Amino acid sequence: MTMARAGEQLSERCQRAGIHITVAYLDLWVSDFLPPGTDVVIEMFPYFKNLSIPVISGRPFLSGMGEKELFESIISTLLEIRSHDSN
Amino acid sequence: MTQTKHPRKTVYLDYAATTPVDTRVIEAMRPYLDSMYGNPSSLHFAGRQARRALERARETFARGLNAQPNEVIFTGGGSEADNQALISVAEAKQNQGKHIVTTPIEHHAVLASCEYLETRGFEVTYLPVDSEGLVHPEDLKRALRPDTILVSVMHANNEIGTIEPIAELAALTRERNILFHTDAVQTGGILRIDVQELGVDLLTLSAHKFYGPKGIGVLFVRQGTKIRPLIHGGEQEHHLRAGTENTAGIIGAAKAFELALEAQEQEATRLIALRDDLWRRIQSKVENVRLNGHLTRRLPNNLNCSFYQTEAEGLLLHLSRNGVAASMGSACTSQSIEPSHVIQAIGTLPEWKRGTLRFSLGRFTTADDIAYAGEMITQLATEL
Repeated sequence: MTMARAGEQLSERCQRAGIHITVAYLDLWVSDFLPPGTDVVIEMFPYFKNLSIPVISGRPFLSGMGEKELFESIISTLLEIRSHDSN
Repeated sequence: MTQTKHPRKTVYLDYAATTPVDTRVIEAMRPYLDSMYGNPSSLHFAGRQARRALERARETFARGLNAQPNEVIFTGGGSEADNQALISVAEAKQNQGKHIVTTPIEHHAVLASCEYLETRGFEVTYLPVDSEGLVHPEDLKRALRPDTILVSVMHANNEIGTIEPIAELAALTRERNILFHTDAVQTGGILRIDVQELGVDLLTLSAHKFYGPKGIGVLFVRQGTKIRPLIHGGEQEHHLRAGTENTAGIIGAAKAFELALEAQEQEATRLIALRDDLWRRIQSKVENVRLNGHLTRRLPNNLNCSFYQTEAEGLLLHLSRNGVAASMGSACTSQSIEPSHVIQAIGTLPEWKRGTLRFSLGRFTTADDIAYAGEMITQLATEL
């Protein structure tokens, strides 16, 4: 799956789960600057370390194996962040 | 993760993408950029001066290829030469047939030309290649038809380095009066090229692959070959390539070719030793790694390997941050995140193909470079 397609699907799934998200794509060859307010990073290969926000491996998007579980894991992470924020 | 903002060393291992222009080449070009700037088509002394230099450059390539000077055409690059070899020959010979044979591992300059010809009513057969990227003569024999007009198989593959049996393949077409083109962009200056021994009718070279300037291609066209110009508007290059010749670039290309031929054998031996050393270093430290391409029939400067379940782009990015320049495939496809068409064509399994990197060595690669690159590759491949 392409990153753009993964981003679209993630937005749709999040919408269904009642979360509105904005997906930003980083081209690490150009910059690794994370937009302010970023809640979660999905990386296609190990890159980020020591971030204060969750970093999830997006490898299943590339291999096609474990995609469903990955979507679920991202959504549950986002829900958790939202519940922390509302507290 | 090893991630250095200021690497302790930089190592360029992407010579198959392009090479630096040799300082001796720059010196040879310099007069034709300032004092000897005449247009080779002009009749006055300045034009004659440029014309003489241009024809000497043509003779240099003719000697190096064992061809005649009038069989050497200068173009604006390897891709243009490939386009001309395919499109202009196909168009010139379409009354005899509209069938072309090539392979799925050619450079995009050949593949895209074939796709273009398909839109013009030509039929293209793509020969199978084996897991090492080799084309087998019996497959070509089976693919040839009475309406086949042209076969194009690259001399050596730009990604996996496999050297194709061109002489055997071309012999099959010669006996059937079919033209044979080979894209020798990766072998020019690296391997000995004798167009008589190879038996090819058309052959492409690109100067920036052998320490010459970018923007200069060479197309060998055997005398008597039916071919049309691709670019119209002038009588230059025996009426086959319109446009004022890039004299300085052509002089530089010839100088670069001459220098490459002078040192060819010693350089090949040196590069093989360095390349094999790099492979040993990687193999000894990384468990799940495999070599792509043929073990022995391969370019002296090419190492292409796949790291199991690794994302090559990540490895490449981290290598780059640590001063090592390599490639995921050919330079022309490296912006694409998908595994290259070559890696797909040789049947690489999914768990390997995303982790494929090409390391290509060259004139300025040293043993120290290999030691450093080996250390970085093994460290990062293990961490990723």
